[in-house]
Amino acid sequence: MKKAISIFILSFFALLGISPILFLAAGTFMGNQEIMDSIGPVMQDQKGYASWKLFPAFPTMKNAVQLFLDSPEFFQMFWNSVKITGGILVGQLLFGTPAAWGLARYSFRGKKFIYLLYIAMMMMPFQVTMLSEYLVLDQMHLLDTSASIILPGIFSTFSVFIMYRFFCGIPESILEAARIDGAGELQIFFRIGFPLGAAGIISALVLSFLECWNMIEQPMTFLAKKNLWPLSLFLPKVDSGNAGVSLCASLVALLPAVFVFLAGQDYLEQGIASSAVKE
Amino acid sequence: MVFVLILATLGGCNSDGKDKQIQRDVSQEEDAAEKKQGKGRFFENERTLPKGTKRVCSMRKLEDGSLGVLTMRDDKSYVILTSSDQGKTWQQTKIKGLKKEYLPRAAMGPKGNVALFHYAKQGKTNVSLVDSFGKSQTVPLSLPGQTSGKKENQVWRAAYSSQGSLIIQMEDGSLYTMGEDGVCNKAFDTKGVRVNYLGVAGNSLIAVNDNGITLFDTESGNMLDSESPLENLVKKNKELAFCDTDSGQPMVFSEGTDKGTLMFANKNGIFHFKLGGSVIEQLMDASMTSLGSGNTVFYDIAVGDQDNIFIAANDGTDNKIYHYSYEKDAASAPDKELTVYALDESIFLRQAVTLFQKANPEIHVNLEIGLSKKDGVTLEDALSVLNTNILAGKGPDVLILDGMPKDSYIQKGILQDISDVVEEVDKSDGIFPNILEASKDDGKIYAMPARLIIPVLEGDQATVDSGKDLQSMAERIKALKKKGNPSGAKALPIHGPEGLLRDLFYADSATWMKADGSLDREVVTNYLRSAKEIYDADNHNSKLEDQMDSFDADGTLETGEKLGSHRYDGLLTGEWNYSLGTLSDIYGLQTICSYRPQTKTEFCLMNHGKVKSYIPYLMAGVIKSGNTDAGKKFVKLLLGKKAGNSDTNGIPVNRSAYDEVCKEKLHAQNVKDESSISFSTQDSDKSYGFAHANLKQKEIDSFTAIMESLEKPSMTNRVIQKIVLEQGKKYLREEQKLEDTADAILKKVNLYLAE
Amino acid sequence: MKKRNKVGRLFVLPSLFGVLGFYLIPFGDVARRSFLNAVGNEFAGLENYRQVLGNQAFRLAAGNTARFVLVCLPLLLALSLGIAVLIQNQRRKNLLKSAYLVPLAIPAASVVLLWNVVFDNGGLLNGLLSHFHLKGKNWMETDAAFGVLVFSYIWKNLGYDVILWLAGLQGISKSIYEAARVDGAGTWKCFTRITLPNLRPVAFTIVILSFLNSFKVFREAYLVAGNYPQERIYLLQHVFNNWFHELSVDKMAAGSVLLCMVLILFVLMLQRSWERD
Repeated sequence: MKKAISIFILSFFALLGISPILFLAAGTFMGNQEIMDSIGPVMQDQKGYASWKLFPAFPTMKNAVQLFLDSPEFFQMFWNSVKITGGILVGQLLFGTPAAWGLARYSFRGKKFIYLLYIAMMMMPFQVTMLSEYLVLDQMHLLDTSASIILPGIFSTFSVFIMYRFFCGIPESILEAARIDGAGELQIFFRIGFPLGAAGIISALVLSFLECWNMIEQPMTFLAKKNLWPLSLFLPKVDSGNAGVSLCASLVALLPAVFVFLAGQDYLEQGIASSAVKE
Repeated sequence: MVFVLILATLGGCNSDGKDKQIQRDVSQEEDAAEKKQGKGRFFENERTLPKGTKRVCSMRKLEDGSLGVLTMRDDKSYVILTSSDQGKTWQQTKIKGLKKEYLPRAAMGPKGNVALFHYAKQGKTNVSLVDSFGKSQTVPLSLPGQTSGKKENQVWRAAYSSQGSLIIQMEDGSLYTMGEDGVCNKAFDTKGVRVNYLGVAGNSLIAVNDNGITLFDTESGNMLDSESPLENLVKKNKELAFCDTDSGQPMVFSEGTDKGTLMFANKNGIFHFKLGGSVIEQLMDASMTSLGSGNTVFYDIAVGDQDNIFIAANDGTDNKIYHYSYEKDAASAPDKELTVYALDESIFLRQAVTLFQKANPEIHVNLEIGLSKKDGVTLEDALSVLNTNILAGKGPDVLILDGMPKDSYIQKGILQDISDVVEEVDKSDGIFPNILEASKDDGKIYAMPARLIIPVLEGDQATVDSGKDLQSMAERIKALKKKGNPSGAKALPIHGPEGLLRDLFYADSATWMKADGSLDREVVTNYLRSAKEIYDADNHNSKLEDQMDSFDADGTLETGEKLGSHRYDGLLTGEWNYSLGTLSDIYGLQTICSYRPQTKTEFCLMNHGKVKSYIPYLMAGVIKSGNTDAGKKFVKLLLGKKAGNSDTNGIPVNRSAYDEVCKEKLHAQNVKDESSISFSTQDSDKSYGFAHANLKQKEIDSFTAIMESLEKPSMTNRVIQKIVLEQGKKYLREEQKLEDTADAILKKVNLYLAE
Repeated sequence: MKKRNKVGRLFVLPSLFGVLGFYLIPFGDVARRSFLNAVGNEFAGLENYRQVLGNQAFRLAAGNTARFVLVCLPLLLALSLGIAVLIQNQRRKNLLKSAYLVPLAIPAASVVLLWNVVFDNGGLLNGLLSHFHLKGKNWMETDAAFGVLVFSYIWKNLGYDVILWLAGLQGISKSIYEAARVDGAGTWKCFTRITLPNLRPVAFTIVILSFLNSFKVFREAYLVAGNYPQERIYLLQHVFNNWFHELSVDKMAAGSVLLCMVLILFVLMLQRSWERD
């Protein structure tokens, strides 16, 4: 009985979780007319209520075809997202990982202060620094280039925070042993920190990926040229003209994120598990 | 020695500064164009044509060095004009032997001879060849391999080479040389590419097609080597490739001053090109001329000598001949800059910018439009960018405040007090005193509208009487619905919910604010109730309504023309018993007065019993931290008589301009010919129409009385308008109750006001 | 010792540099502006702060934001922990976990679309209710909007937190439980005396991350309901955004500084309570 209840609760939430995918998947294969008939009451102020079918009554490949063969902007935006996200992740690896390592394994004056600062910066909602960041980027002549998104993204303290906690979990003893064997700090970082903290690093990257892939405020504010916009800004307007394509596009947009997250899921767990050992 | 060094360094720094200041976006030819550095540039003048000239048909430099122009007069006779003093005076040679009729195409030859092409009738086209003395001879056009297609193959374009060969392009895109007897040889093999339009420069025929430019030798018919800068020009600017106006073209060509050079003009400016060269030189930027207004259509270009260029064009209203003379001592590029920013496009604004630019060649004027409908930029995005720029110190100098948080800007102190400018204009031309007073904010003026739009109600006498406030209007309209229509047709117009709410908002919102700065709930509730009653009286068709809402939006077309929302077609067909909307020009008044006798309707200012409100349009403000001197100058011009003297985008606030515009409508000739309206409806084949009549002084006077009685502007704040329209629509469509709607509006607006 | 720590500083330096340029300096500018007037040419002292604290809209938004966090955070933590515990002993764990993770990956635009379809007056939810002859509500325009926001937040972040809790749970070795079982402890006692304390370190991370994500709700609220949504979902970011549109940058700056101070305080408190361990 108890088991049944737990299974029920769990499945309920699971279903709730994946319902959007089902919704979008169904919509992808529906013709525009069918979609508008179903959700017309919402989109077009028709009377009555919206409804949805899990399986389209008249399945069609039209939307997928139109999206993949006929919408160059979509792909432009897709690659922009890839470019931006890729750039940021690489940068975070280069700059953020050492920083997390430094904060985790060493103690020096001002460390606590820096740590606090990093957390504070992480918490700030975008609106707070929007104008000032704009002015700074303008001074650097970076506005309206992808760099205006990538550079601040690289130095986002969020990933440092995540990696920091994981690095904390590595036993000092291993490091001591290495030092006794004559290894330099840099070597220790590369040979021990990286491998042992791999789970942590990857989890940070995975979480960062999600952040970047779904960024909205920064590109909207700092990028004027539409052809630089990432996928997250592809706000599909669902009206009778393009309902199906919009839904299809949404589906395609979310798949990479789901993929990455599922792939990185295990590392995420491992990483957290290891940090739980010590704080 | 040191002194000289310092001077030299200062001089160097200065020019650097100048270069940096001028960061405007020059036309697309910039990558291929070289701008003249240093001193000297062209200035624009207009050349007057003899009185009675209606159209310019063709223009060129003649063999003897004089300038030749073929014109058509008001009475449809044709005259050859020649001038040996750069267009200041003209010798006229009338063309004899022609019937007085409109001839669609013409070309002028190097001796001053002319070819005029008649319309093709039943496959036959007549060509009248005229010598330089005006004697004409008509021959039939005969094409090789005459095809008898159903569609008349008209002559599309024609031009003479400098050897006197007449080249014609037919509507189907083929090119021929026509002989003195009308017989054509297919002298040009376009290899199947359809020619869109052409130009002749010396002995080169320039044929523009979809993807580029093909050059031919006019005498031998051989194709010449393609010139890649010209090819790229057309490839990069697709709109230059197509010619869809009946007369005139997007580009015109002529021989340059030296052999083998080409001079051409398009909406981006005047250019010079040496055949075989790799670079197109820009002689003049269109933004410094009247050619850049976006509505310009070119007829011809003629080069007197290297210091004198002539362009025949139509700027959207009139045929003109512009003369560009080179002043070698003038600064080659303006060193001051003025930026004018508006959210919406506007023809009036563009014209004012062009006027200002011409009158102030030492200032470069930049017009920036925030919301171009193509991009999908929202109001908020545009405002964010604008605000950021202002805060960064890179803001514009003049703001057209329509759609912006004007009161906020005033409160933050970023706008200059322009009372002095307004007073100047008032002294010289007069401004409606009531409007002047109503635009004051604490005794000062920060935002002055250049134009006005007024809300009107139209119908029979009883309906017009009810126009004194929204409630009685709603009552009357309900009664009309009950009465129905004797002919059985629908009695009432269809309004989109947003459109209706907006028009009523314009008429009513001036009364909405309480003294303490919050919204008056009762007034808003009454507004909603009346709107619903009127909406319910409508005949409903939600698809049509949505269409109307999206078309109307705020009545500004993509070209910048502001339309009033007032419609009258249903009044004429008898389907409607009333009509309400906004009136945005005197032409609209003229229309109403013209069909009034037919429809037996009257009109009045909507809601005039509660408050006589108007919609201020094109409110200009000057930003304190910008170039205030130039900014004030611009505002003065915008409010002034010259700019104001056009009947578009609202009714002039400038009294002299208003009087002028009205006067024009008193005595315009050929009113009937030019502007009668007739149309037929979808349901029946019956056609309805009326003839435009000139305004009578009485009608002007009573309209002026209305203008002079206006009291308060309607609320211009778009945030509030958006909230009201959004919520109101839900109430009209019965998705929300009246109380809840009023609640939501009040709460949201109060939140906005509290921020 | 000292030398090694100096090296530590080097590791952090490049990142610090970037953070300085892209975050600290802008924030410094914000702080500077909080003492000036909107246009930036007059000194205003503490006037902006006074105005902000007395501003009705700000207070409403601050109250809403605080209420939101206080309601959501515990709710989310408890719910996700509960589910984590339940999942722990299931087979098909991975399948379930994957399903839970999906909401996090869905882009905001799609979430907005779904929101509209489900919660609009003519949407799926009301449709479903009418099936059961229950009266639907105007979810988005009444106080129920708050509930919708909470639901959206929990739905999105549930999976995320569940995974994190699961990871933490895994880290607790089974032997402790067995020992306790032998001593006669019941499930509840095990939970409170063993599980919870051992989850402390993970909890810190989870609280910070969930708190961070609670700010992100603004995105969806904004995309669905615009700048002036129903009262209850009018958040701090709405106020900042709107102030910016009206050029009230001075108030925005002062408000931001206040927010920052509150956040730092919160983090400090959190740290302290954790360090008490």
